[in-house]
Amino acid sequence: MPTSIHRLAAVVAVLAVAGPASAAPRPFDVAHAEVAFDVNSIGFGKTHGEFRSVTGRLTLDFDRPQNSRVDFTVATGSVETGSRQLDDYIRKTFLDAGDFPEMRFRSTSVREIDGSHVDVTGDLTLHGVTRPLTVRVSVDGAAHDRPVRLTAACVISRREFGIREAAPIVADEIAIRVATQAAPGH
Amino acid sequence: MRWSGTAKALHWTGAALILGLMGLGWAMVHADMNAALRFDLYQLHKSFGFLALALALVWLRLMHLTFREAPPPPPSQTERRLVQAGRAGLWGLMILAPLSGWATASASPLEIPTLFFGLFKAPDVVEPGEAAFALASSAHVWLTALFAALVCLHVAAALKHHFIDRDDVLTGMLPKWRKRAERPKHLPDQRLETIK
Repeated sequence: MPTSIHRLAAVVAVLAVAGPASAAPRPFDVAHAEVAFDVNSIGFGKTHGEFRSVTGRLTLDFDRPQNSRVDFTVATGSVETGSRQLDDYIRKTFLDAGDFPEMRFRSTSVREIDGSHVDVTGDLTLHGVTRPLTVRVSVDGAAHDRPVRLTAACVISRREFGIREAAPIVADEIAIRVATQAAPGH
Repeated sequence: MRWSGTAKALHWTGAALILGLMGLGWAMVHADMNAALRFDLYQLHKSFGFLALALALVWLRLMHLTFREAPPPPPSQTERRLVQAGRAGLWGLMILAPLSGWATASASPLEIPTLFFGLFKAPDVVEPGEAAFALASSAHVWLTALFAALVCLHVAAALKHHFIDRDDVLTGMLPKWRKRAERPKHLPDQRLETIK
């Protein structure tokens, strides 16, 4: 009997040292998120713009990255290029912000590449069309108790999302860059 | 030769608009800048272009109705014909250059709305399309190049009047302050005398 008690005590001690929190995915609060894009056009050069209204939900597991999840929603009307008239033109002509006020990316799987990179596969909904997308994400400061910085870059074809206006003067390929700072939530 | 204040105001406002539009047009196409600024400059060029077209129409109407002022015609028939051709060219291009620009903006496949200083949308005069756009934009560039050449000839002719013919055709178009500045210094300033 005493042996059994000792064994149980030993198991409890091991569990206490390992800590149950480090094994579970943990919610992170998005403190800051930037979603920027670049697109080439004949005669105008490269147009750079950013979306000012981005909300995100992150559940991160640095020990088992495959358990992590990301979910970002961007208000299409919040696009800013530095020219209000150009913003209006992009909202109406390309994003159809009235009909499609949001675009969203939800992860479906995460694959670890190395200590500071993961490939996040998910569904991107833009202009009312949902398509799969895999994004290479760089993770800076991976720890459960500290703020983390995630940056991702990818290129999408706007035609695949049904945005065909002004082609080929405005290029089909849109380069997207996302940068997020998130702190451990409670 | 003395022009009325209205004629002078129209001449110099028109000159500033035309030269400004040519400079702006060149810069927005060729200068290195970000797309947002380039976009805004295109919109500004279109708005000022409408202003130039409206001014040219008012100017032309007033020329027919009220202005009867013109420098004395040159003695030789060849020179008279050149002067007439130059004048017709300048008037024609003051109308055709902005009209071709309006057609270019309307025909653009980008279908960017033309907002007059952001106040209201100007109607499109041509259906959008690549062929129409190529034709209208080439016409706009070549008409403007011809316009710039005629403006240079116009300036050269004004300088010829001043320095070679030594008449008052050029000085007659200058604003009034020019005459005040030319007043001989030894003459008392009547205005100051009255105040004293």
